[in-house]
Amino acid sequence: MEHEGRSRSRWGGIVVLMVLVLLVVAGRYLLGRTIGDGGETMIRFGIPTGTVIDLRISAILSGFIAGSALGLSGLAFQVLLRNPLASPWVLGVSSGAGFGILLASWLAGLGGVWAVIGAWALWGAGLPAAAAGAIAAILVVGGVARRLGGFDPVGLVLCGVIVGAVFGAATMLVQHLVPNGVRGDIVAWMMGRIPELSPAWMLWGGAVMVVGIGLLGVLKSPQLDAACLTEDEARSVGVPIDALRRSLFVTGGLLAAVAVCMVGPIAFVGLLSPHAARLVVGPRHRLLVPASLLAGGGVLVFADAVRQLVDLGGGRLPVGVVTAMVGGPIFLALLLRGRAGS
Amino acid sequence: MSLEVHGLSVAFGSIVALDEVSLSLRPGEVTAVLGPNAAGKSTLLRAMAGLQSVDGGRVVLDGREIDEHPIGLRARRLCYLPQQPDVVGPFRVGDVVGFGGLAWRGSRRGSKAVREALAMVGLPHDEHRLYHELSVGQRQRVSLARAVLQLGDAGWMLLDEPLSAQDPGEASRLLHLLAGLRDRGHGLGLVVHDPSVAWALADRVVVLQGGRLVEEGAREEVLEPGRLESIYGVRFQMGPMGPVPMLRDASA
Repeated sequence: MEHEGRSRSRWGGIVVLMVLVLLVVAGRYLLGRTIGDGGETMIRFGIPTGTVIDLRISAILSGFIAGSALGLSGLAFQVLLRNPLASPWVLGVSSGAGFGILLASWLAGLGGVWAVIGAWALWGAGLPAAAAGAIAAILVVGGVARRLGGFDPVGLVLCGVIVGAVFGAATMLVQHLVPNGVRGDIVAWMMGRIPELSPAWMLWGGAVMVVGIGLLGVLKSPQLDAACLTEDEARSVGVPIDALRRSLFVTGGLLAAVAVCMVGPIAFVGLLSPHAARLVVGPRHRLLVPASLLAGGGVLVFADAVRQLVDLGGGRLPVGVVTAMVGGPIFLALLLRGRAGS
Repeated sequence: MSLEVHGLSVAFGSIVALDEVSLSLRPGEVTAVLGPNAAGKSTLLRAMAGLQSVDGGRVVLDGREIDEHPIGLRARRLCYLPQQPDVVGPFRVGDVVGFGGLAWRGSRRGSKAVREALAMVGLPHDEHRLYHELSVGQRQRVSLARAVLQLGDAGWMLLDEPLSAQDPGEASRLLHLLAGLRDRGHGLGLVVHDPSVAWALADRVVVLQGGRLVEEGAREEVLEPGRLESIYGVRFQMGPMGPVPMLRDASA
């Protein structure tokens, strides 16, 4: 009876999450900025009209899909590394994707054949460039970790931190090389942005990918659960741990690349969403996978709504600033709570 | 039902952990693996479970090389229980026991099977407790419950120092449980440090020293004080509960 009660309450948690996400989406749909009669920007809360409807829906879909991708990516890396504080940043995947886009932007400004390559890599909001950067990070981290003896969590984290630092330095190098005007665009992109007009194919493609991987995660949930045991125990109960880790590594990396492509390098959503989901539905992946998807999407749309409300004189806050300023303290609180718990 | 190793060799760089070790476990029997620190006991156990890559030799489970068994089928026949079981995340005790049903595609993951396994190891009311609230001894019992669910009627259980870090009461309960599992037909292989534990439980004893198997036989033969002295470099005397090391009184 008690077990049935707990199971019901966890399904209830999914329903609560869905309701929260719907409220956040509704809030973002109604919330925006408008130009006043005197040319000043004002917060406007109300039902949008005309072309604004399409802009709002596109922004909500972009934010939700990218946030969902980050939530699932974070969950994949947390299972892969057996560490609840892991995120796409830990393995350098987000840094790699970001560097790919910036490198392509720089090449596009050089002229000649480089410009052609840069323009091609920036096709579709920079998907080829972001994917190439993320895949490069995956190949380097995965290759080095393999030579260290397999997909061992400690080896992966060590390689990921180094690769992330190298991509970070390379990103700064590109910033140094580009003209001043472009540098401003790059800085703005690195702070994250939720586009109000995304191509339909990208929204559809992102949605299909996120939902497909989410369903796959639910199907594989018994293995994901048992993979939380120690490595030897997981193997012993029948988890094909090497194949599972490879899949988590590649899937988590691709999801992070798609998210970077859509909204730029946004921190903390991939870390915090699985945590929030775990608090609501517990650790079993049958519910945790869809809950992380919902939480990731909801958190990013919520951050996008918050930034509409804050203007410190330079226009709306960049969404990456909102997620980092809220997510950073929450991360530290989680760290302290984990230390106290242990 | 058989589990054998033939000429097993494992090296970590220049350090030889196992040197051509051959051994077979028997169903319905407890085989204790003894030896000084760094003798290769845990490496042998992990290799027998298919968890340790080997440099030479073979591990044969039910007539086939262990790596030739699909991982799910292997899990139905053999399980490994580490010294420090753990799980990441706020899982309940019932969840962790239920993982033992993975290889059975969920048919043994039901609440009833989990409750029965927990009752068998003396934790009938702990299904919904958080796993992290348990003591190390209770975690060992949860691992045993999972192993029962995983193996079904009979299989091989390989346990790495299951009684280390246990208070006498918990150690006694675990010994009783392990003896019960042997009586149900399971074949047990366990690494132990304390010869008196091997005396209390084992049918056969093997001794490793420097990666080589140096003694093998019935417990009465191997756990003889003179032999133990040559292995550990300390004198033993035979008490009513088996061989006991004669430790010097260092309190003076």
